[in-house]
Amino acid sequence: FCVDPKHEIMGKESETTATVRTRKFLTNRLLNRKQMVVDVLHPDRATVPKSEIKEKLAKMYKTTGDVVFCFGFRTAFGGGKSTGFALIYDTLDYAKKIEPKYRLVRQGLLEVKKTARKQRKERKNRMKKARGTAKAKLAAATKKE
Amino acid sequence: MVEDQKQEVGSSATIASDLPKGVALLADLATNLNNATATFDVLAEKIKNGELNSAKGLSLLELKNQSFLTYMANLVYLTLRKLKGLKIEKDSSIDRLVEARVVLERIRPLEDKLKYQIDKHVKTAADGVVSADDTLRLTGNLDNIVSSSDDDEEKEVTSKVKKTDDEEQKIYKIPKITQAHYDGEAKKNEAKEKARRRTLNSSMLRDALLEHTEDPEVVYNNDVLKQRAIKKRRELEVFEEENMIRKVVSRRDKAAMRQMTTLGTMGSEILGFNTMDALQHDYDPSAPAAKRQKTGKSSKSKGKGKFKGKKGFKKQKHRF
Repeated sequence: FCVDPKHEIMGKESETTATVRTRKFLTNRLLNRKQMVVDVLHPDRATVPKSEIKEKLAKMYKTTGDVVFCFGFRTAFGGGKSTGFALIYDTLDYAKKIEPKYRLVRQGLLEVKKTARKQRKERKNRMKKARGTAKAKLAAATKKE
Repeated sequence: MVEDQKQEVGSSATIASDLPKGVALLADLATNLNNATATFDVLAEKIKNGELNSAKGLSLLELKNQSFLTYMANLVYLTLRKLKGLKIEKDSSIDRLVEARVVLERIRPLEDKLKYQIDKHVKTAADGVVSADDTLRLTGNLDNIVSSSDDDEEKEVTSKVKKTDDEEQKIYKIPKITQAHYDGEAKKNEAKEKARRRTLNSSMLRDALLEHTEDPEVVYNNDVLKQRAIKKRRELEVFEEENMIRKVVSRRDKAAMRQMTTLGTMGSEILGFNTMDALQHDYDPSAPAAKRQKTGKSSKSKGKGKFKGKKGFKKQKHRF
């Protein structure tokens, strides 16, 4: 067993590449997208990351990677095969309208500004002390930026 | 005045043109009359001698003859009256003429229907050949006789006799009044068949049979409980792929999907020894089932013996 430094540098990508196959392809005209079940075959390899699958699908369907959303990947027992879903939108606008927020966040198209959890809880506790219009004032004062 | 003169001239001209035609016609008339009288004399002699006896003939044709005669007689009477210059208005002979005419017109279609028969009869009379075959040939051609307007005529023209009538009378056919409910002659057999199949497919018998067959041994993973779990898993898979959603499977269900069969659940199948009954010919599935059920249950509850739950199972494993 010899250690190839090149492979180490490249990270987790091993000698064998993953095969991406799609099943149950359906063009959903109502939501302006194509939806499918994705089978990934990756023997001798850990589960393939979603980004890689995204790039592969974009190449297959001749679109950019930012309209491809893949999710729900489950690796079969024993490894080597995982199954998930993928949606490919017609345009990014439709994607932004239709996709749920968490997936947009994953993709990096949306940013949710969250104050620290501790801060939120402290604010809530402070608001508990006030009543009526004072409460509203306090809420405005400590409003999220 | 001028018009009348013209008409007179016109009529005289027509007379002049028609005159030779009229003469020719008169000559023709004379010759035809001579021929007719000759034939009539012959006919009259025949009738006098009694050669033409139509008592056994078709009454329809008799009627036709008589009506023709009346028609001719009355027509001649009227023409005589006209020649003498008398009026024929409101004469009773006209009514008789009309009646005869109507009768003749009604007879015509009937005669057309009987034409075939009449021709056949005439032919046999002319040939003089009467054999056994002929009587069958003379039977009515059902295609020609369409309507049953005049039944007397059709009875004379008899139809074919069914050959299989006698045979049909001998076989007794149940009169069908209402629908008869057909019960499970098949159901009884089904239950029997089912029980038989179940015993044949039991693991015990199959192991016994394996010794005697030369087929290669196939090992399936057919744990009873796992089948259910496998089925469930498959259903889940289908659902998830249809709706592009991942369902949350509770821990228990996950465990069930991976569960191994233990002896406690399979015991009845292995240890039930009176399963061979179904293979007997006189097996009745509706017989008191208490006997069979008892042994099944008891084997389960008798897990206190050698094979006691998990431990017992482990012991068995280590044997191998």
